[in-house]
Amino acid sequence: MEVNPKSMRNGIDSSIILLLDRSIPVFSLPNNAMEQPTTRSRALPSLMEELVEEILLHLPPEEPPAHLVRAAMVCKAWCRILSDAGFRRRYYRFHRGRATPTLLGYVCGVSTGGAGPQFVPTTSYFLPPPLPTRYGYSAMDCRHGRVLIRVTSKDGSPEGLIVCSLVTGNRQHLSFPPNYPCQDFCSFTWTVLCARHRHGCDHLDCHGGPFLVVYVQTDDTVTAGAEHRTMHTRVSVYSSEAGAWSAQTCYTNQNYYHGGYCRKPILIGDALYFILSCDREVKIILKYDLCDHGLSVMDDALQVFVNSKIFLIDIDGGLGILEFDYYSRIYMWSRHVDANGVGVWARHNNVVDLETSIPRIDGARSSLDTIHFAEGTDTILLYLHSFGIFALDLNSRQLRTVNFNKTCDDNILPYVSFYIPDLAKGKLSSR
Amino acid sequence: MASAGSGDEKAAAAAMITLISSDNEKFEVTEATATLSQTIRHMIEDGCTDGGVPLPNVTSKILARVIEYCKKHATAAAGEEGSSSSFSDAAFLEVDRAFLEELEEFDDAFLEVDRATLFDLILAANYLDIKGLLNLTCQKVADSVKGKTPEQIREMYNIVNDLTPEEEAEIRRETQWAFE
Repeated sequence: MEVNPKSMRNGIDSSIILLLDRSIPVFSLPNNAMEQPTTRSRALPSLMEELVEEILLHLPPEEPPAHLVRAAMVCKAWCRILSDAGFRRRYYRFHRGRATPTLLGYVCGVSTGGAGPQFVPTTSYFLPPPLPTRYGYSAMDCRHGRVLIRVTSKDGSPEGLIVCSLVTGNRQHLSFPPNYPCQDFCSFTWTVLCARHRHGCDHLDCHGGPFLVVYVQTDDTVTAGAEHRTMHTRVSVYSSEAGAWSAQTCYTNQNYYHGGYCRKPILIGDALYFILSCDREVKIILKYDLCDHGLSVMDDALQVFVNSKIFLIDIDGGLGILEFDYYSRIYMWSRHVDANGVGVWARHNNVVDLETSIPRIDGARSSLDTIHFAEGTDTILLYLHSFGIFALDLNSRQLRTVNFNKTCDDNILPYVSFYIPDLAKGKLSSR
Repeated sequence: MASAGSGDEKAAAAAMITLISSDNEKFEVTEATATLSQTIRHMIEDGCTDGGVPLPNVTSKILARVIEYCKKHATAAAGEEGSSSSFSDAAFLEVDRAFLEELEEFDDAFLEVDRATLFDLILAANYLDIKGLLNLTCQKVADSVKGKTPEQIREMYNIVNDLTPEEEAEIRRETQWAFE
């Protein structure tokens, strides 16, 4: 092996001297310690803090993260390291692949009796600060550690929106978009997300950061001069950084359907996808691109699903559909594009047959039954009106009961995160 | 290319590096062994290893252990490189597995040291920037912490609890599940 001679002339590199000098106090043991090695354990704090951090990084990820919590109770320095956001980020990266985001619970849009939204944990260890609850509050969406709440006054008139952090409890108020509430018969849906999502944010520590709220509205109007009614889908985005709503992006469906409505979007990559149910037979998937604000028809050939309820899911980063058929069976479909550039849906095997999985279900399906996909996981929450809420793992096909109490309406919003406890809410990290 | 046999390698003298411990003991090692340390690799690249590399932060006792680790792992790396061309795939896999098993056994035995030595190895691995050794030693300490109560961890590592009762109560209140 040749020694690279390129820098022989430089002699000793000054940066190495610096490196040596800086490290000396840390490595030098007192002489007597060298001569009389003691069997008494040396204190871990004698290691530099960055090395203690290196050690704690090697604690295995587990659910719940009890090793980390117990280690944080050892002393201030350890607690400081473990409650630092930088550590959480490093820990996640270090164990990436072994540690995956978990379904930690769900936000129930409105609790029974109109008591406002409520967080319902599906684990024993994640207990977020309480959500603002008041008559007239309802949760509209939940993502990236934030919950979007719509506030309506007692007389039913709209007041505004609140974005609330599920980690810190912080709240930010914003106004409705100018076109809300819409005057004509219309339907609408809301989405909240981290504003840094399309810049690759991993959402470990963005809860206090900028966010976007996307408002999607579908209405039917008679445009001046037009001969017939048309159906419009309008999208506008609120940016917390700009403190304002964007101009609308509009998609016009020339066919008119009475009672068409838009469904809750899912976020895949940099786009929101949502189903526009025009009527029982016509369903369209629309795509809203968060980068260029374009709104386009992704697919309008969903006739195959005429007799089923369908829900959008993310299958390995691509668009998928969960079909919930009349016989309480759930199927998974994935989409690919054929040689002519046309989207084709392919059905996978039956994911689960609820009639055999839940003995008492016995065909007692309700029109209120819904599926809520927990983005970032392979789990869905099933709301079965007569039975309660169940979590279904799409890979293992295992179904577990989450909640038998029907204290919640069908608007359930899964909360997914990679969880490392924010010990003492990070207060120690600044000391 | 330095051969990767065991023992001193006088034959490969051209690629030998002298490491000098804090207590002035000299260790002759092959460049392949020495360059497992990124710190030394950079010194070699910068051509400042003539007359030996002084390591004022590493005692001879620890340096001897570190060199033992590097020799073994450098041998394993060289062995893998060499074997890929001279064995069939199946034989290569077999050799590969044997290597890995042997290396694992070596690592386990290597870590059978008292805590003071383990910490000195961590400090040396960090200073010399030997990623494998740092991972190995930190994992050993992390494994000893795993599953212990805070009291047990403090006792084991002689750590003073400087959390105030209020702070302790606050963390415990929020994370009671971890102690049940």
